[in-house]
Amino acid sequence: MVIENRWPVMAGARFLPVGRLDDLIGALHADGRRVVGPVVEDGGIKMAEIERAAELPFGWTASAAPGLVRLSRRPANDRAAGRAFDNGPAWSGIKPWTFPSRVDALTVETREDGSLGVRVEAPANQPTAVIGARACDLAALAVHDRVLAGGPAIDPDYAARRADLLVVAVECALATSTCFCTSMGTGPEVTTGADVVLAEVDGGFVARSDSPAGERLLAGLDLAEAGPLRVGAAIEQVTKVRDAMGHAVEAEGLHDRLLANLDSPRWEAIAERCLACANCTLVCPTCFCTGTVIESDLDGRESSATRQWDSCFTAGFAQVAGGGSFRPHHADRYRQWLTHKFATWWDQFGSSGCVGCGRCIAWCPVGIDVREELAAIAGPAITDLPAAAPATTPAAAPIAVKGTRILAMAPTALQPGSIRTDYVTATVTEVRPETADTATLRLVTGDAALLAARPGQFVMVAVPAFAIPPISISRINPDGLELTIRAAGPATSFMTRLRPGAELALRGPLGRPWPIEDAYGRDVAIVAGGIGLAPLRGLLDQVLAERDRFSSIRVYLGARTPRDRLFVAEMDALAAGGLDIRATVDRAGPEWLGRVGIITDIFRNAKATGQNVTAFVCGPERMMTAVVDVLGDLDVPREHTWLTLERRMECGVGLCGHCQLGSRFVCRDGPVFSVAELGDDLRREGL
Amino acid sequence: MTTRITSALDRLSPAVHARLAELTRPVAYPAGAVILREGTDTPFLGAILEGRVALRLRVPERGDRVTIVTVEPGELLGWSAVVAPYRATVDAVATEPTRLLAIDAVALRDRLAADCELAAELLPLVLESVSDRLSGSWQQLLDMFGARVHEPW
Repeated sequence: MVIENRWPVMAGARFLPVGRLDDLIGALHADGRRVVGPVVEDGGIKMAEIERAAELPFGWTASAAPGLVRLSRRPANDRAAGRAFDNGPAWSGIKPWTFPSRVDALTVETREDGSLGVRVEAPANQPTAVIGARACDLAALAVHDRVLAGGPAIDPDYAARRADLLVVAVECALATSTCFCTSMGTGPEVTTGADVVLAEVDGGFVARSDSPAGERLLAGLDLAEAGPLRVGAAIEQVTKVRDAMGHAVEAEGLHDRLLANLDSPRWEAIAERCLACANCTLVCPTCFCTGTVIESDLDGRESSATRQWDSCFTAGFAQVAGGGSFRPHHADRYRQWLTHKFATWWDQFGSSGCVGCGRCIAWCPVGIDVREELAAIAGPAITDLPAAAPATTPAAAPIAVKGTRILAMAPTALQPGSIRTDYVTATVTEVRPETADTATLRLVTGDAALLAARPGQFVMVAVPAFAIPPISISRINPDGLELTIRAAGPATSFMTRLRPGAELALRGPLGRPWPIEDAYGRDVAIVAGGIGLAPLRGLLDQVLAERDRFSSIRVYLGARTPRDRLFVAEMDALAAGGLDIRATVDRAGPEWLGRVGIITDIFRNAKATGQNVTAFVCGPERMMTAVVDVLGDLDVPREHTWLTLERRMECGVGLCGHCQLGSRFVCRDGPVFSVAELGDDLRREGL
Repeated sequence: MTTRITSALDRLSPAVHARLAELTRPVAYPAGAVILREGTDTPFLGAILEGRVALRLRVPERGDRVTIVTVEPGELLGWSAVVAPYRATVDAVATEPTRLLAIDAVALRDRLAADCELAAELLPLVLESVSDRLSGSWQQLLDMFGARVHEPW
């Protein structure tokens, strides 16, 4: 059946004799492109820049098993001994060429005159042609197109590389035992995403074009038609590969089945074996998480930031302020990786994050096989329907999987490319100490976007020589912003010690603001713990400015000690003006005559129902969950209880992956969420 | 802002409330008054009506005191009046002019032994007070607002 369907696709296919591969490569070179293809290196096949066809892995074949990849020479009398691509997908895939492991991102410098200069590095790309990409590689490319170029923020380096990429794909003639693209509906037939598709047959290649650029390339080679015999052989060959692979993963309903088993004991069992070495994420063609690495010159005047591959398996990946990690255990990290690939990826990007290439299986040093783990954790598909063989679905379109409930997460306001990624400078006009370790910087800027910031949003703040932290906006003034910063690490310590006149580079405003309109006509409760008052201060400003729109306004403040309270004079003045502000501290000396005790004590004994309350809560997560419990006891609706979450944010725009929480990127989809939106994820450890 | 005066004892049934009233007298303390002293007998179980009472512990070898928690209107003060050995575990100091309803400790213990209905209603309130102090202390032990050791930035 597949064979019948494939004939129309192959109509007009030409024959490229193996001896003319160099003509193809030459034409690509003549087009100003570097050419990348598979080569044998260090006992494996990787994609590397090549000059001529002879560098391709002619005569090599490969076998793979969990934790094992072996190359071997075909015997001279093997019919396939003269073939270049009959050896499975290259371990590197094409990702290093479209999304390199290290890219210059930003330079921040203090100029001679003392002003701050920020340069976002322009993509420095060379037009590239890839020969030998497989169906799984193209499916992964389509996934990256959505993640890196289809969201509200676009990775400029990826977009530039992608625009200049020409792909000569090869249909697989060999499936290793770790391949399972048939299960994921991505191969082995190349259906979309290539400019030219080759099928390697005796003596050469059946070649067809799948884009205008591909057609120009083939037309320029002046090739003869392939003819039905060769086309038939090509079709039969890839069909055999499909049949050999079988149906190793039951993709139907996998999203729901996996997410229903977040507490499976199997996660701990895998963790006994998993080394958290990150190999699987490095060879995965869709893994896109990156970290920012700052390098500084010795005098601290200039530093550069590079975007580098990162992995959710590393200890520091989900580490946040204070050194704690949201995924401290190997089991947490494996669960994150697997549930993201096969479940929450759907929610975020409308497709699976796995293309079935099997590299993670082959290159896992302890041989963990995702196919086996998925079966053990997610169980069989819950359906009475016979499992249909996956169609050769175009990789760029979402694969409809029956029984999958996709959560609509993408904020509607965020159009593709709508988040800016440039920096603007702002000048510090005042530094106001709040506590021993916290200061408020008053900044002046003329940037219209920053001035249009809304309470609850944050900015990425860059200064030379330091990491670039996300800082929440604590006030929006007509001429600038205020940032309240606690000195907890080198960058934030530096920022709290700045003097008026200093410049900062800001990127933003970022994130979803507090939904103040949700409280119109209702009772407002603002609950802040510690530094959590900073992102709520701008909200309080706005609530007071629109005071008549709310039934009542109450503010509850918690701090560690009286000396750790923020904005003391400001809050005292508001209380003196009649605003209902209740404060408590966790401990105090005898000089403190106010309330002592945890913040939930303040309203625990409230008698009135909270059904008309909209609550805005910010503080340490442990405090927020305690507050949410008490608010729930008081009948404050979950959809009217708003939190701002803390996660590690590196890019701030949903591209780097660090702040993922289930189907959300906290930086982009939050950081403000309602308790109803978060559901069980609020309390689930290790997510 | 007016403070609505409520007593923790309002949650008792009218009958029990009436029987308890025989043992109860209103008391007022000026700011700064020491109501309970750590290690001494607890003279009464109190229901705060108005004001604020700080529960303080002496910091070893420093002589000064730290306020662990404050007891506010609507809450009970002096659970140790009904829990052996009936000695206060903290100093209780009024930080504001404070009014409370004081139930005599000895008489209350006698009544609890004799009046099962009263015991069944009152003791859960006392337990709730102990439970709140305990869970509050645990959260304070977490020191979640506290200084952090290290941040990546």
